Amino acid sequence: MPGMLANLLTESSLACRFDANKRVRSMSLKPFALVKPFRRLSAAPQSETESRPVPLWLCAYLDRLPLEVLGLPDDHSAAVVEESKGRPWIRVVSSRAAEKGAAPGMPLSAAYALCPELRIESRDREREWQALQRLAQYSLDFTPWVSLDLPQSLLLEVRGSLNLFGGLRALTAKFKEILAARGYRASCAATPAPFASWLLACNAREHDVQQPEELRSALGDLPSAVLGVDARTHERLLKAGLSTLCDLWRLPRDGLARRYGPQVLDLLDRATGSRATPLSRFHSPPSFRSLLELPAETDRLAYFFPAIELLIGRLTEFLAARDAAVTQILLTLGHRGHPSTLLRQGSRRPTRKSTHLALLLRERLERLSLPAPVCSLELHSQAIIPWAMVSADLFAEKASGPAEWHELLDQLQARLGPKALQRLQARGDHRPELAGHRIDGSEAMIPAPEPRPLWLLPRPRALSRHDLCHILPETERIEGGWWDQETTRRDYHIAIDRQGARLWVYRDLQAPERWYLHGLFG
Amino acid sequence: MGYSGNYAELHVLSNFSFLRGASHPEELVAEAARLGYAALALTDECSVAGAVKAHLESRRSGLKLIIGSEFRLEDGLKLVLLASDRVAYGQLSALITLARRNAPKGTYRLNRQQLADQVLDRCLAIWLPGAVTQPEDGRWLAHRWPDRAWLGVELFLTGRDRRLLTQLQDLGRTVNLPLVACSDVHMHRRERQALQDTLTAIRLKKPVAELGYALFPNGEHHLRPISRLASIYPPELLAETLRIAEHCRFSLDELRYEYPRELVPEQHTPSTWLHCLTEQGMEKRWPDGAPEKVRKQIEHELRLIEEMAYEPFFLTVHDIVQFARGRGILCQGRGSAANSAVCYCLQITEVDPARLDLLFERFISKERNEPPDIDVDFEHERREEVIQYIYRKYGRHRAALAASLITYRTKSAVRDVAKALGLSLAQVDTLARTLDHWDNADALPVRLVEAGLSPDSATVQHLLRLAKALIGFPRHLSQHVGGFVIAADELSNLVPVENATMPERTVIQWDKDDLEALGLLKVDVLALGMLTAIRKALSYIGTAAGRAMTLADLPPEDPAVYAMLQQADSMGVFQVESRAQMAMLPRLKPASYYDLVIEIAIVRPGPIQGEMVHPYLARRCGKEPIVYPSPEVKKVLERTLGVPIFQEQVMQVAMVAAGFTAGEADQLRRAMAAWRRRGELDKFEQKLLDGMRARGYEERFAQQIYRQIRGFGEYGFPESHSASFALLAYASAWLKCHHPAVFTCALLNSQPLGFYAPAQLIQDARRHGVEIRPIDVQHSDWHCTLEPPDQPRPALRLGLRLVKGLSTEGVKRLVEARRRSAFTSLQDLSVRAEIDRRDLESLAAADAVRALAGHRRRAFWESAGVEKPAPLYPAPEFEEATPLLRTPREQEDITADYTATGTTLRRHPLALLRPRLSQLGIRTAQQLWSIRSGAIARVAGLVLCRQRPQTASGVTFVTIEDETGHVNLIVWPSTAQAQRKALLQSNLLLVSGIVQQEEGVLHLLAGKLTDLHDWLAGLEVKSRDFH
Repeated sequence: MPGMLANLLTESSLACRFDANKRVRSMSLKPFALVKPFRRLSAAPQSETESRPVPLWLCAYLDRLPLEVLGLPDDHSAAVVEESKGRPWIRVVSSRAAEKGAAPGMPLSAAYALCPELRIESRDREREWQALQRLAQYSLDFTPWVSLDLPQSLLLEVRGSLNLFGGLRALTAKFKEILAARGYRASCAATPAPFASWLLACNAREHDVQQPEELRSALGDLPSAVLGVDARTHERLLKAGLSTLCDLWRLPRDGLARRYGPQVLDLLDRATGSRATPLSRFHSPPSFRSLLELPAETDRLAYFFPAIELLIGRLTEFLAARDAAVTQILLTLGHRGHPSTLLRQGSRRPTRKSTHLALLLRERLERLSLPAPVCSLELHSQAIIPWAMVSADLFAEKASGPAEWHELLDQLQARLGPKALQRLQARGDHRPELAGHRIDGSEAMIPAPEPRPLWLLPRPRALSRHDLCHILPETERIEGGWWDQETTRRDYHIAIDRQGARLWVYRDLQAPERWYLHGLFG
Repeated sequence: MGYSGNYAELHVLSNFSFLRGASHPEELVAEAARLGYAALALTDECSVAGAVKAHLESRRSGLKLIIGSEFRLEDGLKLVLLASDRVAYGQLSALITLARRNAPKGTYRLNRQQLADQVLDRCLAIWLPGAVTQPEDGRWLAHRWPDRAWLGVELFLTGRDRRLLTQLQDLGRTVNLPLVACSDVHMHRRERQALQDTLTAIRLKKPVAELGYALFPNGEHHLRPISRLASIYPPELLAETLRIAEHCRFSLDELRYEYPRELVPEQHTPSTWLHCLTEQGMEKRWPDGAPEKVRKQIEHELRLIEEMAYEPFFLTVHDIVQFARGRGILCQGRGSAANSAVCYCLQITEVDPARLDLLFERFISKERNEPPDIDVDFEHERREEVIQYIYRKYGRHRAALAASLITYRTKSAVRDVAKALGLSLAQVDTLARTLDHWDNADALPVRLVEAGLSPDSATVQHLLRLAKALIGFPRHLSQHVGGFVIAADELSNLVPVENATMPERTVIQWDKDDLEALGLLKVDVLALGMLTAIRKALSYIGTAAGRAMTLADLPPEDPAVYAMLQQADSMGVFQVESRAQMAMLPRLKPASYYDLVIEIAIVRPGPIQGEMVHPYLARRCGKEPIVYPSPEVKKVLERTLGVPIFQEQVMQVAMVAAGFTAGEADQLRRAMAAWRRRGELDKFEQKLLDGMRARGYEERFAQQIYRQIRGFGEYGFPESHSASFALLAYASAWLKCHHPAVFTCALLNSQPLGFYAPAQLIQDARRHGVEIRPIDVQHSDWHCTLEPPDQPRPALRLGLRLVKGLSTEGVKRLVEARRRSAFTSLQDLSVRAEIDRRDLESLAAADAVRALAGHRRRAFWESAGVEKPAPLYPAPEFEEATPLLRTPREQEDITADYTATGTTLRRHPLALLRPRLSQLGIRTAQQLWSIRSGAIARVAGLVLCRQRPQTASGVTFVTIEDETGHVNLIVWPSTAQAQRKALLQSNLLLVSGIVQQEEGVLHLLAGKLTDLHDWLAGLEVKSRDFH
């Protein structure tokens, strides 16, 4: 019977809607690699026929982004450091720190020598990436053509929007305002070539170049270092006296390529716009929503669960195609004449495994009493994230163990409810009150060292030596915790009280006449 | 007590089990003695590195010390081996050597088979079965050491002690091993538990709070009172410790160093052979017969040497020096015994005993019974030949380097403890930077506040306490700079040998203090750059003169040389070229060899902190009367006008004025070297003051002497070293004075050495009228050369070695090809000399191909375009458009010169800026001399170096240079604080300040500092900062 029902669910009855109406940008985790982003030529406007007006690329370079995402104020001495070859280096400094002489590229010790009150934080690329994604979202109000391909910046094609905003100046002002309102500062430059705009913006030259032929003079005096060639090549450029882009443009192209490699030429051409910079477009993150009308109303899980499995199959296919994973899904069960039943299901780890998701939903549904028969099912992905992040995370733990363990925990929690699942766990401390600790199940388990009484008093209770009939001679001395103000120095014994109960008692070594009861043996 | 003497601890780890033990060996021994232990076995993990320290303490406290070691085999078997006698010690030492040589530096590896194969029959073994007992292991051990193996029972109040004891008793019966009590001691007192936890955290690279069960549950791993042990262990287990201790009769005092025997010909004894060699040497030194005084001196020395049986030591050094001489390697001995008449005859030193009134007893003391000290310096570029000779002659199994013990310093201690306490990376860094290397632990609390940490917080309190305890803890064994220990046979029979970081180098587990304490011989084979330079200079002069030149050919006591030094014209001169020396020279005005000996020793932190400099100078120029508190003291201090300047003098004063014995004076010297670490000097304070008071010396004098001793502490300089150094100082000064081109050439060809960079040496030579010719592929060799080499005043041609990034092989081919014919073009050069593009570019960048390819940018462009010719085919020709390359401006050329070669022969960068500077009324370095003292002046220059000596209480010294010379700036801490950025960052500094001129020395007391970096446009001048 369930099988038959499943067969009735034909393609035609699937009302499958995709939110994202366009192609989805593949999510790269390396948005900051300098030259790498030019991977894929997309149908960006500048590559189209000449009959159309020259594109105008506005680049907003967020020079303080690493500071800004960490909430470091500009008027205090602060810096973001990045680790390279095992040593921290200054990446960005606040204006205040810059005044004192701290500068990017300095080793930390040098910056401290100049600016002793410097506050440092480690760079958080993930947050920077998220911030750029958010800002890109807002940028879509200015133009549909937004790209995050060039490092630490937003690229907007604004030719078509100029009239709407009353010219470039007004548009730029408006755009900066929007960024400023969210706590970001940017240098903006606009030229017909995206790479040229970026070069100008990151060198804080807020130029506006309308025609391609003006690019050379606008960029000419930029130092050749801006091209971002490797350090050795750059050094060799300088040795031939090629310190600016202008010096490079004056040289024979073949000679230049032969000496410094084609890459230099390529970059120079991109800067003048004579070679296109392929950019990928930014889109808001994809989401998945799929609806199934059931051919017949049913309240029997066995009948409608295959439909859910079908939806899950769609979802995981969707995820796989986009190299993404999901951390939360929403299942809506439609009833005739009743409000829908909403089932929000999270996963402990991002997942795109259909069996896992199906199992979780089944656990929930089996415990759910439905108000009415189900007539439709809708599955909505609520939190999609790139799969690459997930796998990196998993590899760090270098075992399949944790993943399986988390699946099991998800499953148990789905069955018992999130609050029910807690366990007594040995935290790894010689001090008994810290050895057993109620925590959620996400940490690794450490076996307890030795048999301890099963029942531990929440707080040790003072008692009189006379309460104890007999104290066994075996001593367990525990000394530790000096590091966290819970210094413990005790001699534990097993004692028998008048009722013949076995007690776990201790003497405080700092006050040896005092006895305490700490536990009872079962 | 009743328990005293009832227990011997047989399993003890000191802090020489790195990051495990939390007490110094001395502390453990002293505490065991205090607790009335019958004996203590120091059993560091696969090591006896701490044994000598424990041994010395056991000598003091009278506690019996047993030498042993703990091992953990690869299969987990853990045992302690104890040395019962000298043979067993040798076996143990050989085992440690085997395990250590088998693994990378700092680790060891030992498996069951190796343990079975090694001869260890005289050792005693204690098996430590741990929680998981393997009866087979016990049976194996019982079989391996019949009647010499025990089962160690270690109880630590875990709450399961009784169960464990019963288990082990059963096990003992099963495997037929007697049980013995031991305590796996990791610290001498319970209070060290926190430190032990911290060490565990450092070892496991995790904060203490996260360690959980990796920590000991309690502090029981300390030396427990015997009464407590008696309540824990059955009495028979305690009694057994005494039985084992009884078996162990070995003491490190039994170690007798045996000198290599091959140095003495068959028909001779060491004594007759040394006599014979000395006699031969005497004839060479004094062809007309030695003066009577010297003859007597030699006889006296030989008698003393014979009495102490030190002949083989002198013969060993003589042999090494002979080898070096045979190879033409310049060398010179220094150190207490080196400046003896015997060493002069043996050619170990050039210090003529007739010129110096040095008492030999000062160097070899009968009473002190310590080995004579001779350091031999060799040319730094050729020392390796000498080391290889030693390895060849004696074999690697007989020769190894002494260890150098690397200990925790303030900075490393704070850093590691902070990490162990879980402070964040940023906080650790914040802390570390509060401890620049001129700081010390006493300044710490203040620094913490400055760093924004509350000194009252518990974590910071822990940090301070633990870091303080950790300072001085050994971290690892490194290799001594050149102290060789050479044994008659297997060295590993004497002391374990382990791997050093350098491949093919091995070190023993004891450092120089240990060796000295045991009376073991060490020969110091050291490297000295100046010897290289002097040898090269002598050979250049010799080539020109057509005969071989040696140090002995330099005329002594040349007034022109002293006249030059008195002008502080000493750049490049050995030992007296530093800024501080340059400031001292015009004041001390050395006019003789002995003045130089004083000059070298006086500009040291010791005399400066002991406040001896001013009194000496005042007495020297007659401003202060020369008085002596007593005739005895006069005898000691007369040669330095009543002011103690040398380390030896301080010791002698302690002897004659405070009644110290020679042995006590020596202890004092050791304490001086260590007082900062452990405050051992305080013990001597009272004795010294009392002694002097009893002999009728004024309190003021007594206090002054004590202060001087403290000041000398780490930094006192011995006369015996200064005397040898002064010879080289004189030789180098003579060369500089009479052959400036040769001297500069030799210095440049011996880099790196000395205080100054090539650029400064070249500028200095130019100021002395030497013509310097640029690097040129048509003329330059790898080394700098003299053109023409046989003229009295040659020009100096800079060598290709100054060009950065050039390969030696490339240069070799280049010089070879040029010898056949001069190069006609860049292409010709690249083809004939097979120079690759990289080398060619380096040459072009250094402007060395100007003659072939025009200005450096064109040359570089052309070099970059040169294609490597394929075999069989001619180099491909390319038709290329002429590049539009701008001719570099002078400023750009200067910058490029500095970048490519570190120097320039063009105008000084400041000369270019001079018009601008003059407009602002900024003076030159030269002009400052015509400004009266106390006036305000402004001057600008490139920053050459920044220094903040420990003796200068926070003052920073900066040297700047313009086209006319140097200016020395004094920057007070307050000035520095306010202008940190300009002071620390600027490479072109504008300074306004007060001129201070006195006795031929000029300083500028800096007021306002301005960074003129922008004026330089990319010129990279590297300053030498805070060395």
